[in-house]
Amino acid sequence: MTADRPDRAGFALAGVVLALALLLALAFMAAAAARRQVANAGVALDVLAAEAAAAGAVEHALRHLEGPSSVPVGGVRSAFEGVLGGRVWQVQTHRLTREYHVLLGYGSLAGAPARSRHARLVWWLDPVVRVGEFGAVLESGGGVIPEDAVAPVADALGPGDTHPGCESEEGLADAVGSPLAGSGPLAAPAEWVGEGGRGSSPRLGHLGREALVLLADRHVADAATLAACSTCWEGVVVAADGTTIHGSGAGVLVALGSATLAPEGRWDGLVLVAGDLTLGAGARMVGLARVRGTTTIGTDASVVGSVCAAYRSLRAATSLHRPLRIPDASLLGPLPPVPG
Amino acid sequence: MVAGERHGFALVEMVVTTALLLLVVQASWWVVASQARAAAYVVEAGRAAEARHVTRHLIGSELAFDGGQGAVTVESGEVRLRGFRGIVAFCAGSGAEWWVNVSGLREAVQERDSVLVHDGRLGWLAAALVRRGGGGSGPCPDLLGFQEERWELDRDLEAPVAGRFFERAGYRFSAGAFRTLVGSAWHPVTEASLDDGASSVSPAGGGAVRVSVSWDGPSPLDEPVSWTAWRGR
Repeated sequence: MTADRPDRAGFALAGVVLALALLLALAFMAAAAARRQVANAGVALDVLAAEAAAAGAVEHALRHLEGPSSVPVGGVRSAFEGVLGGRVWQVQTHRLTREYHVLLGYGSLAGAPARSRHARLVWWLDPVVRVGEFGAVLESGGGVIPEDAVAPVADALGPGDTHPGCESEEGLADAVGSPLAGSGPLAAPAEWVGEGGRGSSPRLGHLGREALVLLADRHVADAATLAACSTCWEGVVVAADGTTIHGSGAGVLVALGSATLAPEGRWDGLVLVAGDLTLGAGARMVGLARVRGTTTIGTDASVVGSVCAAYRSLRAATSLHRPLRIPDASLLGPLPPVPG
Repeated sequence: MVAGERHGFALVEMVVTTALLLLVVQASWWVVASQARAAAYVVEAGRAAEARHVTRHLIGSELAFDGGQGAVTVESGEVRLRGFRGIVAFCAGSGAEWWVNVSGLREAVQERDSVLVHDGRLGWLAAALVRRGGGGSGPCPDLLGFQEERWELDRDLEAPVAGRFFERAGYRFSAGAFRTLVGSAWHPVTEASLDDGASSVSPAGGGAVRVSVSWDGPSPLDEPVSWTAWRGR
């Protein structure tokens, strides 16, 4: 009896081993297929997460970059970097021209020494370029403008009225023509005011009517009385159509329609008017002005050319100093990952 | 007596064991056959899904970054467009010759690629790439993934800042596959298992393209699958 047991046990054992081997083979096949699928899905997820990190880096920069651009023209500077979920992200600012920049976002891949990229073309207002666009102290779409009311400026960067000179400001001498004419037609293409293929009026580079309203530091309407000193810059002041400004103001005045500077009133800085501009008797405007409609200048009223006042009013308008996506096609395109 | 009992018992054991083994084999056979059917289904579904995925990815990505208004045409079952291939940042130069930093899905090809340039004064302008040369010692800054080149375009530019370059691309369903135009030949980008009659590209208005993909023969997936690919960014 004891001698028979090994034969019987061996037969059963062989069957069990065979069955186990079959089941194990099936299990291994299933496990291997599952592992391959998980690995493939992991790579795809890694790439997607890195691309999202790169795009997020650019969005982060768009939300948090403020103030004038500090990157030299042609230069590259790291703006932000961080770690999100163990994934390193970084964004660089590449300044192409004084106003155009490329924001380059990078997101590292977890499973490979490579980085996904994201690139956006952005526009970043530069006061030097904006005042350099002026061909005259007062650019107007029409109206009779007495020569003695808007005098040309011999030294465009020299001191004028209560404003000191700005010759030492970097790039300004190259951008601004000197002498500057007193009055002239609207610049072509009508980049600041007018349709000009770039949308709404008034306009400040790529900042259109809606953007200027959103970024305004102050809104005025009807009969507004201001009391600012000539260098107490108030940022961007948006005036509704038909506004009459009494007293004195300083800053970037954006009139959404027609505007009037009341008799003996004063404005220092940059003035953009979408409609007509009327200067009451004895009113004084110091800086640069662009008027889409006609300009009417009252008795003893004047426009005193001052590039420096316009420049400083733009410098002080901090809400305008941030990178903005250019319209139509800010996203430059899908870029392949790079080693690094 | 004992031995006889043992033999009889062994016979019964053998019959039972054989029956059980047959049951196990039958069950295993059923499992293996089911798995084979499932595997075949998964493979077939994977092939069909891959064809859909490739078609969707190509049309979607090409339309998302096409070369602007009027660049997409759909005629006779073919979609023609300017396919995005890379970006360019202008560094210095004048007229038609510029130092540029280039990065993209492939290198630019002179006399074949067109360029959509954003000019700071004039907006977006189209130009053709006439000639490109190597850089390396020019004024462009080092940017990760970019290489410096010297480009000559077919027009003068005033203040170019950046742009994208494109090639003329075409896609259609023919001979059982989704195909792309390479030179004058239509090369397949999916396997030739699609139903030409039911797979198609057609205009959907607003520059969008309607795409339908159908598997040739009994399909493991819901057929046909259709979607609209939209232009824009």
